[in-house]
Amino acid sequence: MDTLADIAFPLRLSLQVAAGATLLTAVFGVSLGYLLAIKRFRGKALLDLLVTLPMVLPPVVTGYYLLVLVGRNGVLGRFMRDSFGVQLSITFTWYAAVLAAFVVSMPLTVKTVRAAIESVDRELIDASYTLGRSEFETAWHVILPLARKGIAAGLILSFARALGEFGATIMVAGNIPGRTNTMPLEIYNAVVFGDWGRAGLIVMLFTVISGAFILAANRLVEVRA
Amino acid sequence: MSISARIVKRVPGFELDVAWDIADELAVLFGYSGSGKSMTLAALAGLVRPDAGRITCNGRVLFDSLAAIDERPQNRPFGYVTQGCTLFPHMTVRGNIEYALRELPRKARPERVDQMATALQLHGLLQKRPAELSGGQKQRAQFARALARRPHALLLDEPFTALDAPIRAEMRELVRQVREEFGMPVILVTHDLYEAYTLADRMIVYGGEGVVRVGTPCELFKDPGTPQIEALLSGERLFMCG
Repeated sequence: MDTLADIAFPLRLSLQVAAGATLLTAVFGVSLGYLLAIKRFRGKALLDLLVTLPMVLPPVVTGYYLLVLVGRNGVLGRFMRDSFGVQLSITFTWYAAVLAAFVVSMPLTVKTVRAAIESVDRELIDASYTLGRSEFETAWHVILPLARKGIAAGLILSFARALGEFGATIMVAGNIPGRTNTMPLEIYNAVVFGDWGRAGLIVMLFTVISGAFILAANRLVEVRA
Repeated sequence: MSISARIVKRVPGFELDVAWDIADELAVLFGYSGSGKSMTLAALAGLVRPDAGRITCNGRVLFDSLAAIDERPQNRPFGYVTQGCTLFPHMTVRGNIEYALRELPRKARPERVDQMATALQLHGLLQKRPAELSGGQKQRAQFARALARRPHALLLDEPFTALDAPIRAEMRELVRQVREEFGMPVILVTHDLYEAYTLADRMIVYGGEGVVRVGTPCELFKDPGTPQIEALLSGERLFMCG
């Protein structure tokens, strides 16, 4: 029973972090996917690169960048202190874990949403314009509804990826029991302390959850095709 | 009621350079495929931006390269129907028609939809999705949607090409009827000579290399002007103009 109580917190924290990260992804990831699919602008290739990079970089490297950016003496931290007199102190809190999970998992949504939006028939978009509907209305009433399965699939993949975030999380949120020890960190802790039973339990839990998410995402994509 | 177009547009391997005017009539835009007929309509609708030129509708300037005027497609007074089905697949027929009625108060929309349904014989189909409609029904629904916001002119880009012959005949009748009922200029792009002959008050023929001939069908048969246009219009001359 002890073991179950021990994994209740990491499980809850992980779900909370992944949900927070997915919420951010739903706003920013979908917007970026739309922007990259529909708009032509200067610096598009650079934006695409920046957004995609966390997908291929080792998460520890992404975590390092985030630390340099939002750490107490990081670029953003100093800017906030000097300009607004505000002490930025999100590192080593669960907010930092959300940030790390968000940055690392967002590219999956951006890529999936971009592909889904690019596959929406251009003539439907033109039709909407000639019917007097603005670009925003067209996005909201035509493009996003027609790309909804791709969007849902992207968000599911991002959620699953956020749930498993380890490298960037340990860099910016640390590994503080009872505060930032998400499930992946807890597996590491359990193994380090030789508690193989607990490690195995969390690993199994993880495998089942992730498998379910992949099945759900596949199902959405199949229905579309 | 008049539309005037002067359009210059270069794309790799092709140059469109045309100028013509029409009054309140049914004008058929006719020519070889690849002569820029569809591009002309897209430029009128504001979906393709000409490199140079001027487009007006009833004296209102919609595009003028010198004056740097380029109305957005949303603000152009045209109904636009294309060959493919551009009904929104996730909305019902009613939803599709209502979608065009942004400027109408919400309460007035259902009534307008019902009017359009009556005019285009869509009753009983309003709750259906586009996927449940036949080809001819789809086109009638697209006409209803394009006409719902009361445009000043109707642009039809080969709207019947994908349909079977008997339905095409029905659709030609529909175009005549729409023109009578809604009383607006219609520009119809087609590569079907029979369709052109039977429908056109005036023909605008693209003969290639910037040659444009405008006239009634009979005028053009009697004096095609260039050998290319003569070739384009040959075949059914006897049968049409005695």
